[in-house]
Amino acid sequence: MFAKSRVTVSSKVDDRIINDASAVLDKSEKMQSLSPEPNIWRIIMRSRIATVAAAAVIITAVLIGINQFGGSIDTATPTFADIVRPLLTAETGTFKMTINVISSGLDWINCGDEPVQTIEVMFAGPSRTRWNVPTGEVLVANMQYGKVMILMPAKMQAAVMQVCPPGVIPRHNRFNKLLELRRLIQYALETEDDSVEFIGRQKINGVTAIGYHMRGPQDHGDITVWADAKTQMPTQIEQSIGTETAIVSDITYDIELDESLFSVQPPEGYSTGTPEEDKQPTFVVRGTVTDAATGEPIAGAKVSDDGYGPEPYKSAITDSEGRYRYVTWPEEHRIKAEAVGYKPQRKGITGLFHVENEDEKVIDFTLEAE
Amino acid sequence: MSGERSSLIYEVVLMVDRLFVMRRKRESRDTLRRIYEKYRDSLLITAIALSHDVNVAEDAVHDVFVAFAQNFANFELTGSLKGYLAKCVANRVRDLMRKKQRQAKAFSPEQNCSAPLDLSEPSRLIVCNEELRLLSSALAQLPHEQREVIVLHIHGQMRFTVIAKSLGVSVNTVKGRYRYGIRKLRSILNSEIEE
Repeated sequence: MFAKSRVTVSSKVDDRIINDASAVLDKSEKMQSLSPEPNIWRIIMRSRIATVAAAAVIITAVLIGINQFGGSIDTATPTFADIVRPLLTAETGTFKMTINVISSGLDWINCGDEPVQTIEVMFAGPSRTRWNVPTGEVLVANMQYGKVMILMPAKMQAAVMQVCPPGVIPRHNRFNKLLELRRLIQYALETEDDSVEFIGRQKINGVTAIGYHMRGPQDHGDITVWADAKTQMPTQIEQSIGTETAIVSDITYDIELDESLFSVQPPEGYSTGTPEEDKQPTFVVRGTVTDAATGEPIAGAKVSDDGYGPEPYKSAITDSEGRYRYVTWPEEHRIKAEAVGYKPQRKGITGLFHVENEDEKVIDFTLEAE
Repeated sequence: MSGERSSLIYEVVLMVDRLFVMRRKRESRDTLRRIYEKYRDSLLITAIALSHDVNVAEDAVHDVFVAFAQNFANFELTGSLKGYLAKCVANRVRDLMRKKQRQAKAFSPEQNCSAPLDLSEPSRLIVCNEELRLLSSALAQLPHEQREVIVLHIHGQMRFTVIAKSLGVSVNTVKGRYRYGIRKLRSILNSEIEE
């Protein structure tokens, strides 16, 4: 009797269970991505690339823009404008950056307790930046192409994403934050910000340095710039906001950087995480939709990719003879036919397509009246 | 820095999401749905046979799949997936029935929670065929312990040793429950056919 037992299940039951389970799955995956599992998201977060990226943009902006400030000047020492001039004029450069977050307040990211890491940053103008993190991951932001690339050498994986149109530096694009900050700094300069002050001499990394402190505009915290007392070249910049500190050190200016460093073309041998949008629907699905009782064609019925299949969903409307045809994603997924006054009908998700051998499938629907 | 950083982190999150998480999520959702569609009927039959109540059955299968989805990323299968899910459904049915019994007693101590239900009612979201209704009615007359072993062994295709381990009782106890249960079930079904 067990073998002969059958149940007929309403799609409402399926929808309830699948929707609830999917919602939980999404939530679970979000949490999973934040847990210490070595997935891609976690790798990036563990490498602090996101954290560092943010700070790098801010600090790069400071590197370039900070000397626009005036301030109190001790005539016996180089002025603030003097020591930050290399930062302002540098077209290219490298530096190391260390972020120390005691309490990030960003619980959803859960990165507050991670060890401090130092990354190497290279920049060429405001549009090209490269971050190398100790764990091997690389992030290249090249706004000339409007692209950002993440390389994961350990997995030989690359991800490239178009974040804005090529050659266009969006006014509010976060990857070009330095331009926005430069405007803020310029604004502070024009308003004759008097927060810049000389804080004396101190040994920084074994070298006597002179320091200037300033209160950054708006919410950019306290910034201290240290310059070699002899060469007057800035050697270290510290930024602190609350319990967070970022230190930029080992700064070099106007050095030759190979253009390939800022390429957003994945290196040879890397598999690419091509965005789904780049894929094209190529599989033709066609057939008819008829009334189950009368066998008459149903005109105006909608036949579409069902939920949980590839997105965006593709669809078609049946003609006067109940025929439909559309091009969809070459992957297994469900097709649903629906019409006013009829119960929707779905065709199974497995075995529907055999995309390896076919490029077209005929799927006929017979709809029952509601 | 927090504001700046969180904004940029959000940008990176979006980027990574689009490239990787979306694919993984979609694959997970598809896989989950495939599993659901593959085992839905079998699990519902298990739950109906155990509970004689389509509402409890639906809730049990729902709860099991939601819990399954919650641990989907870390799920490691050591045996049969069908058996694992059947076991989870059986456990959930037991919990739901106990809860229902408690509620029934609270409202009306005399009310029997296993009052017969019309499992073939077309307006229901889950409709059982004649065989399942007969089987479910007959099983409802058995003690839950015997019912559980019979359903898991015959329908869930679980071995006695696995059922024993799952229930935390000895194999001989499981075999005893099965033997007595089958004997009684046979008697009930024969008498119904004779009637």
